[in-house]
Amino acid sequence: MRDFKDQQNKIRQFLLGQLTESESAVIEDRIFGEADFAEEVQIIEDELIAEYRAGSMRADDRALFEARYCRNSAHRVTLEVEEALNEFIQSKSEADVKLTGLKPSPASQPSTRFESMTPAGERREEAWFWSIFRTRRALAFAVLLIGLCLSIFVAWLLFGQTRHNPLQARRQDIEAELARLNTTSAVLAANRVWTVALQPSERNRGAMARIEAGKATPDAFIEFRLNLTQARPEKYRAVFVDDRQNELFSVGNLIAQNSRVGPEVQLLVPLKYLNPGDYQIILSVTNKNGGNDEINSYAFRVLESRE
Amino acid sequence: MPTDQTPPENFELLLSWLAADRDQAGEKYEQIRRNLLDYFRRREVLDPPRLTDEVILRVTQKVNHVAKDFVGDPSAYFLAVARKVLAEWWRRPIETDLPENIPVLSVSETGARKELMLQSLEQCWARLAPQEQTIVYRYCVETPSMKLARDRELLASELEMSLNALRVMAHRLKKRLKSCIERLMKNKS
Repeated sequence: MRDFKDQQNKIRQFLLGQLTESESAVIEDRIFGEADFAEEVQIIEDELIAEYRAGSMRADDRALFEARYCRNSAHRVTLEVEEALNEFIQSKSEADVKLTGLKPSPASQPSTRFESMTPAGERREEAWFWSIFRTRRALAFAVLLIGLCLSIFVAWLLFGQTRHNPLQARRQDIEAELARLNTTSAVLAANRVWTVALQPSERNRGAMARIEAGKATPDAFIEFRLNLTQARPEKYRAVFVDDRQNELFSVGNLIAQNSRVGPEVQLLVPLKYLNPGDYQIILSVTNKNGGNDEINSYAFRVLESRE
Repeated sequence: MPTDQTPPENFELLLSWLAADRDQAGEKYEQIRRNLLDYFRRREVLDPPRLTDEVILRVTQKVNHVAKDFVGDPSAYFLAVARKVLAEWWRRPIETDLPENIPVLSVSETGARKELMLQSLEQCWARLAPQEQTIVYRYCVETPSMKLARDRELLASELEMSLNALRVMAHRLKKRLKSCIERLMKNKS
């Protein structure tokens, strides 16, 4: 896990034109190389615009923002759309927006950039389909039937496995959340994050770090700091296993960073995923063949309350 | 596809260079295009779409030579070409003074544009699912900053996700709205 606050500040400075040419080039390289990072830059840009509009921006940042965003026509279009969207949302009352019961659903998480929202004028396939349906009804029904059978077969192939395995589905959900949490800047209150520094098991002589879950709020996060003897530039992967060596979930794309106590890999995990019990984190590093080489393991115990 | 100056097979080759799977390649292409637009916009270029097209055109024209030996993420190659195109743009001949009768958008035209934008927005908003509308509304509605932080935490807990996941989700929904508006406005104008 990166130092989120520093990263956010760096992006902010980049957007306000406060970085040197070489520092900006590094940010641009990351924008093109890492989709998550590019998205984070867009999010911070949106937040800067919102801050500017709300008048909550510091005077010097405001001057920089105006110099950069208000005099350039390409930026002005961005501001214009943002302004219109904001006005529109503010014009809505709670009654206009059906405040439906919120439950996370895949529908609210856009899966691809090509999905939905095609303007009505672009929906020519619909008219074409209906004209065939009117002229060659038998053919259309046959095509429909074959299509239906094929989709059922494909759906069975794709989802059948997951449906029969709820544990697997839950693991996927947890890993998706962990990936988001560990690749983009988390905005977490400091009192909700517990830091746990772990030493590799072989150097710890059987000693085990203890986390007293009873002391934390249910929505707390654990920031694990996995000590390393040597930092490597490759990406790391951490696999959490329970005391019976069952693999629970994993977090990938982690990078090593230097700290006061030496190189370490940092990762955030919501406490809710760690029930009382003994755990092990197996840390591996991506090798040249795309596989993972195990390098260290770290043990810890989650306690319900002080023993 | 970039322009009709490029053979279609080059564009196909470009897509297969980006990713073996066609859907993934399309997604990657859109991501690169978006990054290029942002790159030129942040470099305060007057016409980012034109320079973006120029970069894609140049890469597409050379893809059959480049793709074979290139090692690494193709995005890096696009960025290198974008830097070259930008350098050329900075060195371009200085434009002459504008004529005195330069067409300027009148107040009524600006108003009409805004009206068109709001109409498009209404249509795009209607295409969001009720739950998505609620998320965007509750995430973006202006409230005092203390209350805003509390409201967002509440929303995140209702959705059973972290605040940061909510932040990303709200951004993606807004992004869908914005690209929908841009598409509709392009069609209408």
